[in-house]
Amino acid sequence: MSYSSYITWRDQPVPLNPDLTIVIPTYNESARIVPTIASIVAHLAIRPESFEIIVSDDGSTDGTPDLVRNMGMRNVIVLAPGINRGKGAAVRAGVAASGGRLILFSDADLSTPIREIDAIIDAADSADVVIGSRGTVGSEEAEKSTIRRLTSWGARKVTRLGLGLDLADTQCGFKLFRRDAAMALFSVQRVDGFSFDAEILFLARRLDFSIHEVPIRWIDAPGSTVDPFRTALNFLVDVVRIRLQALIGRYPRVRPARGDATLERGLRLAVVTALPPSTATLTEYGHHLVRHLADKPEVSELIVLADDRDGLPESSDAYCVVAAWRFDSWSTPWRLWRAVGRTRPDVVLFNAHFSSFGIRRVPAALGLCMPALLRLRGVRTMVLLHNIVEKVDLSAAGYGNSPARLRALSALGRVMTKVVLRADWVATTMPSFVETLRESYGAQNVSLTPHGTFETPLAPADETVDGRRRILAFGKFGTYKRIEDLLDAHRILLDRGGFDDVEVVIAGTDNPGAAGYLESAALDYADLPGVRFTGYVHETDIADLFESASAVVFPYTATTGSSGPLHQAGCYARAVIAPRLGDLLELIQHEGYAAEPFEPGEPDSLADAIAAVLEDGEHRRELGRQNYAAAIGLPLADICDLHVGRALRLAS
Amino acid sequence: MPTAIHPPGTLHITTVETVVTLPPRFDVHMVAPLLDLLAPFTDIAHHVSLDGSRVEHIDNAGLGLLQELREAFGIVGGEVTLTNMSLALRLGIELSGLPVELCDDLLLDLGTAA
Repeated sequence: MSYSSYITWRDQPVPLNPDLTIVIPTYNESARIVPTIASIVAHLAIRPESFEIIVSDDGSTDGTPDLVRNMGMRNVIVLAPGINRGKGAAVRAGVAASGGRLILFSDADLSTPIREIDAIIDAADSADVVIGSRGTVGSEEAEKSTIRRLTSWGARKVTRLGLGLDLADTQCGFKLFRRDAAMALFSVQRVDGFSFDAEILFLARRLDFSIHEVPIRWIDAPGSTVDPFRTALNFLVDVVRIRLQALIGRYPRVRPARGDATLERGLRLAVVTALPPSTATLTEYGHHLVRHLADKPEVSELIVLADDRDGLPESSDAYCVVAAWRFDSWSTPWRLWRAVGRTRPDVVLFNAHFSSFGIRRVPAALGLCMPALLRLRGVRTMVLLHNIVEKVDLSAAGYGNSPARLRALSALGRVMTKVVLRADWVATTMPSFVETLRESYGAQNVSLTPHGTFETPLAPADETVDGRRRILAFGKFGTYKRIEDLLDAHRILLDRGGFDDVEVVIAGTDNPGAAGYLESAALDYADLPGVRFTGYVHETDIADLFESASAVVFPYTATTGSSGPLHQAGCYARAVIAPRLGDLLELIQHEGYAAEPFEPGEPDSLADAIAAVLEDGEHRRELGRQNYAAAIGLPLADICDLHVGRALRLAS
Repeated sequence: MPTAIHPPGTLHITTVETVVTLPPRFDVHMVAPLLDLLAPFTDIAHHVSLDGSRVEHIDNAGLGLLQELREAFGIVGGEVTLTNMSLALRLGIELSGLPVELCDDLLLDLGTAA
């Protein structure tokens, strides 16, 4: 392969189920991981297989995960739960996240040169598990220290006597598995430490998977982070433990059931979400999420488990809508449980945040328990989590001002976060959310799945069609989205003069937790000219709404995750006027948007920002162009590929 | 100028032009042999061409050595160039975070990389 092919591999996603996944467990490998990945990529690039690399970090404290992320390789996945559990746990997490039809794990020091994979892959035609071996005829060892020779010899004896393994080398960190074998073995494997190799091979023998040893050349790479004496002692203890686990029946005697048939017949996917006309939250996102998921060829059947409080959305040719829960109702868990039982999906995806299932705390919490409860029932569950409690200013978001109440809510939110993390997989829309869930909760089943943009019209107009200057605020108002500062800013501009033609459009409805807010605000500002309330905006009117705006303003007092209106503003190449608030700024910077900033809670600052955008046409158009460029870079259609890929992996 | 040198390991000089073929695994174990091999040429201005066509893996020690050689040869008015870089060597250098100026110099011969 040429360098240009490498560039393609680096930048373009490989298929959801590539031919090969390389899992590299790491612990403080900052000095070696980059050269190792470079060598692996360079070698695999000349082979015909499509491949991905998963770096599964085991709580490094030297920045190894960031080093890998900063390499900017699209097909290198970093798993970094932030805790140190052991090599076995890291490899297990990597295998669980893998998509390859063949899965190899390789030590980060490349003591076994990557070229040895050629013979290993060839051998996989006739074996379920192929292991690199330093003990068979034809193998070579170089630079091996006496201590390592002794420990290797000891390990061979112990595994032979303790586990009955007649293999020449169980500990070489270079093992390849056919996918079904990997999934079966790692799903029942228990050892977190270095002895997991022996356990895996013991299980492979027990479950009647074929094992083939391939002689390899091995070079001792200095700089190992392993203490040989402690490792040897732990190895002995683990071998005894493995034997005991087997004796008391903790390991299965038959292979776990396989779900690979899902890949052939297609995925039966259920999405738990509110859809229009529901007045619950995330309805717009839910609508577009479902629409794009339905377009995916891997999804053979799409079932929408919908909220029916405000009427049931219609089914379409692409998906079937089932009334399965009701916003703010205690009956939600029971109804969802029954609906999943009736529809029998392979995977259930929840489109949710912390008040998706209700404003009242109990219905909201009950709904959030469902991913974990369904998982206990054997149903695979994924949660697309749009916010986390650590990132929400509860007071500013309208949850009251009492410190005791806020502390209690925060504690409840953390408990619910732990419950949500009991799902098979949790995707969040912001990098900082992923970081928090990994660092504060030790979650390993979390990944970043950006919000994505719903539509990407070709060449949207720079200016409004009728030439009138219009400021748009869009959303569900009354909690942390409040219009007082915007209307005050509008009044300030009218008083300054030169802005008489400007219209402020408040598009959307009350937040479910703030009924009557917009009506009350409209009465309070009845004397203010140039203000229009549209009420609920139907999906078919969204394009006209944004295209008729000169800029989109975000009159927020707090943020609760990624922003749908921001992405919609980008789709229609609109300038954005945004408050200096943590999440929103992070989102803007992370996804490449641009905004005219203002200080939240300061109408004068907002008035200045609006004036800056309206009076400088070139600045306004430049903001719009940048936002459009950011929007088309992350379409929801592509984001849905990530969801489908994850669901396929869970199902299989 | 030396006419024939038989260095240890897999390193060897193939011509009087002092072309040194780097080993497939250019790691910490190869640093000392290569330094020994090139030591005689750091006393006078000399041009050493490192043939990187066989490199399958280069670690940080190997990368550090390249940088060290460049400085050592530069002091006496000589130079070190990389030729026939394998893809592994090229990626190793590109992704290493070596000082840009070194990469730029070393990448002068990238036209022949795989």
